[in-house]
Order: sequence, then structure tokens, then C-alpha cells
Amino acid sequence: MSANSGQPRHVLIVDDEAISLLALQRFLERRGFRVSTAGDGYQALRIHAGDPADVVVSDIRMPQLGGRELLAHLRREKPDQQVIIMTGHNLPGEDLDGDGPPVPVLLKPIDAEELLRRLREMTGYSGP
Amino acid sequence: MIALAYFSIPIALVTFVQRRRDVAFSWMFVAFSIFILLCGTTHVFSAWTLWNASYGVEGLVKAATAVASVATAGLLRPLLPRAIALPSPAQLRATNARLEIEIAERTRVEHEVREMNARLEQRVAERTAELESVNTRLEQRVRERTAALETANRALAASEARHAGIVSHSADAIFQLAVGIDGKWRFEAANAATCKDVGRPLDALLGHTLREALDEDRAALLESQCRDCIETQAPVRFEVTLADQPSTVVWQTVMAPVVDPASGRVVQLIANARNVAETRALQEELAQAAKLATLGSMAAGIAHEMSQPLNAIRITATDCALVLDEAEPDLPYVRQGMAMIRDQSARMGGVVDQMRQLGRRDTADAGLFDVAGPVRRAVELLQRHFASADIAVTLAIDEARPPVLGHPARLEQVIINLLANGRDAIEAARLANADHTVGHIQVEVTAEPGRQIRIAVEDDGVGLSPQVANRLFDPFFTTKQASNGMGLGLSISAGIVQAMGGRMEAIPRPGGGARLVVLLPARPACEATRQETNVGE
Repeated sequence: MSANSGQPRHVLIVDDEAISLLALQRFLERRGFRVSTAGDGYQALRIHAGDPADVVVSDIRMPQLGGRELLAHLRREKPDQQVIIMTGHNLPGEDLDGDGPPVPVLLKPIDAEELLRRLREMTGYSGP
Repeated sequence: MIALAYFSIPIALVTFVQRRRDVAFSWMFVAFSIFILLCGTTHVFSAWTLWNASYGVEGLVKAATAVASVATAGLLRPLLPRAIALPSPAQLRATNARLEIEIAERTRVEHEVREMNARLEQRVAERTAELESVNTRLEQRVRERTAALETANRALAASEARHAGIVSHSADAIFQLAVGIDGKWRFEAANAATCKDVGRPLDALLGHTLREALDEDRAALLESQCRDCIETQAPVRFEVTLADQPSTVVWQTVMAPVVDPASGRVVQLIANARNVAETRALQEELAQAAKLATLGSMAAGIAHEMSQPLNAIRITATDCALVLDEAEPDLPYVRQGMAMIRDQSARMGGVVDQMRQLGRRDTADAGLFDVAGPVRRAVELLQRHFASADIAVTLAIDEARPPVLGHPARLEQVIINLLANGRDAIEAARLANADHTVGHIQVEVTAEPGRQIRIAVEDDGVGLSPQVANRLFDPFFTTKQASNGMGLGLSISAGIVQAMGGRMEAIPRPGGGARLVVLLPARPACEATRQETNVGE
């Protein structure tokens, strides 16, 4: 969490479905977030390594490296990394939270306002 | 004294002659005896007359003597040469000896002959004994063979009676056509079901040609099948649907040729026709059920295909609503958003349409179509969904493709089924082996112009064992867990393909995985949509 509440927060969206990425990116950028996008887990890790995100919003079901695995990687590096999981399937049974901050799970089709509220909560950023 | 001598000699001679009866010319000896006797008597009388003068008696005696001596001499003369010729004792002995040698020889020969005879008789006896024993054995064998033949004959008769009973009572129409030298086909035998189906009594069929016995259409249909059967000298299978009866009848027929080994010519055609109308109706029901089951197994795919555009729509709609609430709404932004919503809605509409098509019961007749359409739709439906599970689906379609006959939606169902099976196989491989992460499903459509279209769906999943490969198309056979599928898919798919005149094959891939192939006969583009389908062996 950044102390400067005026700085645009960096959100990394990870989803293998291009149209979902696009819609979400448009929505969040309009609300003042800086948005990066990745099509799969590995790409997400690469981007995050070079330009860390305040919140990573990831779909669960992706090729190569899925949401769960991405979460594990991120939390290994930074145990309190904020992550939001999106899913088009049933809610995952296991406890994703682990030892870090809770991981909200949002069902697709995403309630964008709910997502916005969570992001603002997590980052302490309310927009421009 | 002289007299004594003279009298004793004849006595001796007579005695000799009497004793030796075998002396030749014994009468001569007797004649001598008489002569000598008379000579003696003469001498006696000479001496007598010295003292007594009985000259008269003496004269008689002398006369007698003279007669006797003359007679004897006379008789002796011719006898002489004969007496000289008499063989001497030495000669006789020699002759005897020779005779004895000859006798000995003869005796020896006779002995030999007897011995040979004895041996021959023994050999004959032995041979006779042999022949008798052989005879006995032969008779035994003949008895056995006769018994065996009788048993076989009885069994044959019983079997024939059984088969005749089976054929005559069979619900299938079973009939036999004789192939005449004139090229015509005549009924040689027909069971009750045939007569009933054709609607003619038996005597209206036997000996008559197809044209004479049946109506125009049926005769023409059968004739073309007979021709095929004779040309290929192999069994042909075909279906004939007759819709003009009280209820639709579908005759599934197998016709087999009987070839005369001597001439190599087909001399008979034997056919078995079964009314499968009810079966077909049940199959339709089952196909529908399986289609719905396929839809079920596609649910995750459908949900995915719907969920993604819906996600974008919802986010965009929320976004636009919020923008419109601002003091000065950015209308171009909203317009852009609306455009996105419109596009994504259309995409969802396409998926819904596809579902609708698949769920629809096929009422339309089979028609000619290009396989590329249904194959592409099936792949596109599941491609994205599979990709997010790390299964890459590739599609390659040959440019030149002849049309096939059938229902496109059904073929789409078959391809969806094959893709889903490929996905399941890959998931199973991943469960078994954590290293097996990458999954590929390759879909290929290749055309052999004029002959057939081959649609291959190849995966690198858990593969097929030979036992599984054999049973793969059996209804309710499944290698999946109970929750994952009823096991109807492949048998229904095979049924759909067969109804289109084709067949399916399952081939294990050498490197692991399986290759499922759909083969469909290529149709000439001008062929009308006839009800009859022709299926080669």
C-alpha cells in the first residue's frame, strides 16, 4: 500500500480472453488506474518483475500457468501481495488466502462496481 | 537107360514150363517135350523090338515121332528168328537198370513235386488266412463307416430340418435367386416372410424373374444390387426404405453370392432382409438422447463461450452507466462501449444458435453438404475452452472437397463428441503422469476425390489398448469414470456415420494417444436426396 493516495495505482489484469481484458482495462483506466495486461501467468510474472503491480487481478483458468499457481508465485516473492481472483467456474474449494491478506474471488460475469470497490479498498486509491 | 533119360527130359521141360509160366513160346517146349517123349518111346520100342517083334506098334510110334518131329521142326523154323530176337538176360538187366534209374528219377521228381505242392498248399493256406483276416477287418471298417454315415446323415437331416424351420419361421425375409445363363435372376426359394412382404404367394415367385414377381421399383432396386453383388463377387449390404405402406418399412438387406468353383461364375444369390424400421426409430430416439447428452458434456464449453462475451458486456455496460451518470458524459466513449456490447451480444447469439441447431430433432431429409461447415463450427465452439485448459486444437482442411450426404448438425455432433473424448484422454494422461502437460488435438479433413472424405481427430492423450479399440463403438462401453459420461457418445457417433453411408475407425497412435477417423463416401454433386443408402463392406 502506497502512502501517496494521489498516485495512480498499478493494476495488472491477467486473463487469456482478450475481450475481457480489454473491457476491464478500459473500465479501470477510466477510473484512474494504470493498467497492464497479460494473457497468461508467465507473462504476468515477467511484467510484474519489471514493473510491480499494487494489485494483480487474475482469471483462474489459463493455459501454462493458471490463477492459483500465479498466486502462489506472487505470494512467495511478496507474502502480502494483493490479489483478486476472477473465475467463470464454481468457486474454488480450497483456501486461497494462505498466510497473506485475503484473496477475494469474483464470479464472471464480473460485477465491475464490486471490483472497483475492492480495488479502491486495497489500494486506498479513490481515483483522480 | 536111354529111355529114362529120354523121359526125364520132357518131364523136366514140362515142369519148367509149368513152373515158369512166363517163358516165351512155352508151347515150343511142350512140343519139344512131346518130340523127345516120342523119340524116347521110339528108342524104347527099338529096344523092345529086339526081343519082341511088334513092328507094327513100332512103326506107329515112329510115325508119331515123325509127325511130331516134322511138326516141331516146321514150327521151329519160323520161330527161330523170333527166338533170336528175344532180349538176352543181360539186355534185360540193362534195361531193368535203366528203368530203375528212371524210376528213381521219376520217384525223386514226384517227391519234389509233392513237396512243392505241399509248400504251395501251405502258402495258399497262409494267404487264405491273411485274406480272411483282412476281410474281417474290412467288414468291420465298413460297418463302422456305415454307422458313422448313418449318424451323420441323421444329424444332417435333423440340422436341415432345424434350419428349414428357422428359415421358414424367421421374421426376416430370406430368399434365394438363381443366376441364369441368360443374365436374368429368378426366385429359387423364398420363406414365408418374403411372400408376406412382397405380397405374393410362393408360386408367383418361384421360377419367375424379379421383374415378373415384384413391382417396378422394387425390381429395379434389387436388380442393381444383384448386379453389384455379381460384379464384386462379394456380399453387399443395403437399405431400402418403403414409405408407401401402412407404416414405413426399412429393409436392411444383406445379399451374398454363391460361386460355382468350376466355372468361377456366380450361380446363386442369397439374401436376408430385416425390417429395421422400429430399430431405426429407436436409434433416432437414442440419437436424440445422446445429442442432449452431448450438449450436457459441452456445458462447460458453452458456459465458457457465453461467459466471456457476457463478462465483457457486463463490465462495459456498468462502465457506460457510470459514465452517463457523470456531469458531462463522454458520449463517444459510451458509443464505443455500446459497439462492443453489440458485437459481444452477436457472438453470444451465434453460440445460442449453434446450441439450438444441435438440440433440434432432425426432421429434414438428408441432403448434400460440405463437411467443412460442421467441422469448423465444432472446433470453434470448443477451441477457446480447450485452450484455457492448455489443449491446443488445430484444424487443417483440404481445399477440394466433394459433398457428402447426411445432416450437417449430426456430423457436428460427432466431431464435438470426438473432441470431447480427445480432451478427456489428455486429462486422463495428465492424471496418470504429471509431466504430461501439453495437449494437442489435431483435426484433419482430407478428400480422396471420387471416393471418400476422411475426417481425423488425433490426440496425444492416454491412448487405446487393442482390447479397448475393439469395443470402442459398443454402446455403453466407457473407459471414463461414472460421472464423466454414459459411454453413449462413440456408439451413437458410429451410428450417425453409418447412416451417412460411412464408417468409423479407432487407431492407437504409435507415440501414445489415439486417432479417431470418420470416413464418409464422397457423393457426386448432382446426386438427388434418395432415401436409399448404399453401404459397401
